[in-house]
Amino acid sequence: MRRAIRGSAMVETALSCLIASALLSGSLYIGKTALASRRSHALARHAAALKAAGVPLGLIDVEMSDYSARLGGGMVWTLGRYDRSAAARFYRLTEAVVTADVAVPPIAGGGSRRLTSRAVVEEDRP
Amino acid sequence: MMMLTAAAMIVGRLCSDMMVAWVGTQRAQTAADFALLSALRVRGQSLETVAMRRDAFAAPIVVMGGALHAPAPLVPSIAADAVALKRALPGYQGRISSALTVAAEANGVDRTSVTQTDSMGLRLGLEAQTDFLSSSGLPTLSIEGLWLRRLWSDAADAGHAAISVAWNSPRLGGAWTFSAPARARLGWDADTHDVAVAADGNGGFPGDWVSASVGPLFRPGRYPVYRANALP
Repeated sequence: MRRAIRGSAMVETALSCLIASALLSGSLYIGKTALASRRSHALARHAAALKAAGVPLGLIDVEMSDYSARLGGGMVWTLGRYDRSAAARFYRLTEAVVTADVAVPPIAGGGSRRLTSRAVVEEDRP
Repeated sequence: MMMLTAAAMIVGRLCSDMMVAWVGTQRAQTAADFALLSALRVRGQSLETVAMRRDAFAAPIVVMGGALHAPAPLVPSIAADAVALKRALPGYQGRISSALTVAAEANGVDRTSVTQTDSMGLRLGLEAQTDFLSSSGLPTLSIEGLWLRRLWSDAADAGHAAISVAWNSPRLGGAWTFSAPARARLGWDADTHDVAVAADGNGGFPGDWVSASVGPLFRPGRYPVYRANALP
């Protein structure tokens, strides 16, 4: 009887540990994803603002590399004209797209997840 | 055990919802800032285009005895161009409103979530004036849109605007609603330290008839250049 109770307690403890570790791992993953998402969005916003203000592309790349490094790195950006909607073609909208890869924990299947952030603004002096 | 699992799931979900909201606030703020800045930049461009069109037909006009005068052969084209520009003004206004929508949607926000809390700066702000134009050998004509009056009072400040973007972030059992405000202004961007600009600049458009001319010259708009700036 006593052995059975002790066995049951052990199972409960093991399960509790498993749930706690899954929760911790999940929380860490969510936190990391949110942080990466905010950082990539900050980078996209910065890039779009610079491009729309007429800063030369070479200078933007240097600035972005520096900013990306300070935010932890691992981000890729592209700059271009936004023309995804028909109405957008009547304007000169600058688009900055930043992608960042976030590692998915093994408990959630492993691998990585790609985050994409976009910021769009009208050019200052077309 | 069941309770522990349920508690863990609730905490996990709450954590996830808070993170989504945290990311959402940043995206809403960018959408608000960039949509407003885009609309004001389009307004600046529209004002510059209107000024260019106006200057194209107003150049041969002079002031004689307090009235406007132009060479007779040019009067029909001046009248036609002035009327055409007057009729085009609502189109330029529509372009500003549309820019707000397009930029908001491009930044992932539906237009219905955007509220204009101060729309003064988002209006084109020009009023077409009807005036008489005389010429030798022709009767004096009353022409619509012969000059355009600005509706903003301070020449250096073409108007402030503010919008607010409402953002709903899902959470367990409902949604968090928050708003991202943005403010910006369109300023006259001529170099006011330049002697010529300081002497006779008028904000790109005249505020009244007196400031539409310089001596015998009819120069309704002087140095029409504008720049939109975000405000804290």
